[in-house]
Amino acid sequence: MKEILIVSGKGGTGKTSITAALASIAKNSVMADCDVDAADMHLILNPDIKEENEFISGHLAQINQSNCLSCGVCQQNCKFDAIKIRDGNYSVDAVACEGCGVCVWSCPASAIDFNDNLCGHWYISDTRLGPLVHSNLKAAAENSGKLVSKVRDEARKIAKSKESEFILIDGPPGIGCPVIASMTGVSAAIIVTEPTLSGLHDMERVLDLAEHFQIKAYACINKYDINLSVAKKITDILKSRNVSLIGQIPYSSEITQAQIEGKTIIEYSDGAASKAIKEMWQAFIEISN
Amino acid sequence: MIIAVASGKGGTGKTTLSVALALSADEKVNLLDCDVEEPNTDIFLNLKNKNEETVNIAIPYVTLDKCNFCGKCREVCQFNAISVLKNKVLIFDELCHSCGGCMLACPQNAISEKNSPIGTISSSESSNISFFQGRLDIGQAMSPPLIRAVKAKEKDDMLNIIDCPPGSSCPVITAVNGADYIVLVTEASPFGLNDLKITINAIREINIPFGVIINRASDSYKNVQQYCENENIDILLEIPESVAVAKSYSEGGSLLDAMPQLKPELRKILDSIMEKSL
Amino acid sequence: MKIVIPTNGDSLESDISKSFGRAQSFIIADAFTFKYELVENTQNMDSAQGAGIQSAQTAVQAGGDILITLNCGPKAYRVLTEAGVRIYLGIDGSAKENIEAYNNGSLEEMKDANQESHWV
Repeated sequence: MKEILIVSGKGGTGKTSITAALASIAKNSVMADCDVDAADMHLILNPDIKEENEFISGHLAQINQSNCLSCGVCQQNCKFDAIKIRDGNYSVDAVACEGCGVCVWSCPASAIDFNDNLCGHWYISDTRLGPLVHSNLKAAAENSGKLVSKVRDEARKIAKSKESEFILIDGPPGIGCPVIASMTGVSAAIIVTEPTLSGLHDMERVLDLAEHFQIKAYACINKYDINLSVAKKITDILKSRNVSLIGQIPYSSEITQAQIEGKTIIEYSDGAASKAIKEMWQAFIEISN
Repeated sequence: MIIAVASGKGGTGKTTLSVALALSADEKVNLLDCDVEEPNTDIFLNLKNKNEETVNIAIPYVTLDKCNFCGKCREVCQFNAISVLKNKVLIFDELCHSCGGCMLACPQNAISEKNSPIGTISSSESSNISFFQGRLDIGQAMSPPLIRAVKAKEKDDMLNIIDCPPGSSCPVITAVNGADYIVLVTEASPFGLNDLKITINAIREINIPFGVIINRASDSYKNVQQYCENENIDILLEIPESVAVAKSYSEGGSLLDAMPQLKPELRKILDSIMEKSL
Repeated sequence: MKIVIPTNGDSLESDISKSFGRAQSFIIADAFTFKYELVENTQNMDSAQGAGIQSAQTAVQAGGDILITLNCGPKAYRVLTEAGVRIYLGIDGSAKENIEAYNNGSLEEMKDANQESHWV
């Protein structure tokens, strides 16, 4: 079983569209939507939810007004500016609260509760392209990295029991906590970039991250024909860094059209973009074996 | 005055709009790139004479001569960043949130703080823009402390424009914290709309007024407009899909290079935001 | 010689747990007499991060000299080795089978973590 992460550094380069397309091509795979901040896979896969679970992580402080002495010790000790005073009453700003518990620990009146923090839900679903593990992070919640780990764990369990060949992970943008949680321990990362100076810059940062965690990386350039000279620059950098370029996908308005119809580009059309993604998968299988 | 430019989905045009808004203002603007995981704003500015400073977070440091290995620091740490053994204390820097709980809890006063670098802030200046950009070190997981450090460069007497990271969780919430107004940039696609809704839910939790700019607008997908109308959300601007803009962007050109006609419109948007926020 | 084995059960016949950090409890057994006690590991189940570190701490405090486990991440590995606990790679099977395998020398000592860090 191979765990393959599709990631980009920069947002909006086409990770989700490409992950869904790959699920259309690679039969017998399990999909994991690890872009838990802005999950979109379900828009294309129309999942039939089979299992819903609460995602509880960490704790949230809450001041019990009837016991509060208004001494202000909690506010002095909070490093996250999460204790607010309104009309003389102290309260915890749930969004700013880091869940460190320093206020709970230091309150002389034991007036601060420290309850489990419900951060969202995760789901196991059936889709026409195979099982999907996805989630819904509560608005402005924390701990997205832990939710990513949870989604990956569940996808692995399903893949094991179904003897799936691949787990396809739709990764988050950036290089921080949720990306690290998506990347550690995968069999390979496919980096989707675009021929723009930002795309190039962000690709290098995510390549650095893959190197840091010793993950084998491959690259593809989406919309490569938007700027051929930047595409060439990217190709040169990949060569110098010894990273295989496995695909160049032409710009196509069909990608958005497919999205609007809730289809993968492979299901939607047999056009140039669709063909390029099929060839890319072929190349990936050949090189990675 | 602080205006944050944010979006749920990445790649919708946050940086493009942050720069274009900054270049459209009449006054000098303080532009802060808080997308510290993938900072890009500098690509579109061409500013010289960069200064760079290191940003550290405070990590506990245990003086073993004073320590009696009672384990109170370990008990108070919610992030499991401390392990106390018979004659050793192990600190896991990468798990520490710098809450200071261990220092408060230590009855022996054996814990002090040491600096641990997480990234850098570079700064530069031109006649119409002062610019700060955070850059997270590779392998660092937590961006909010660095985002807070960039935001410490906000200036009370200036128009501050914040280029935010994508998403809807802690990095974005940290970046928009304290803003007077949030400009949400989305694109005309189902993904763009879905992520816009997620981000609006997050922003409603923190009660900051906001409006939407629809990028790459096209007649074939009007659901974003419909959603905004139904929800009574201000649409500040629609920017049509344009090959010229995409091409200019790919080479580090500003939106105003490709569409100079947007400048007065963007200035109007700034004026109306400032009027509303007074 | 005390051997620690993570499990989701409650006796020597219970299977070794697939996870170290998120095992429900630890069996602390004497390698020769097979007398054992059970130490709960429940405080870890919902922690936001660092479950392996806490588990390692629990195993150390229980007085373990040897840990037999299927998985061990780098942070737990650091705690255990700093505390002088030796770590052996277990076999799929019951706690008892693992102790027997250790006694007849068929388990291999782990010279490094065999799991990626979970990072959160």
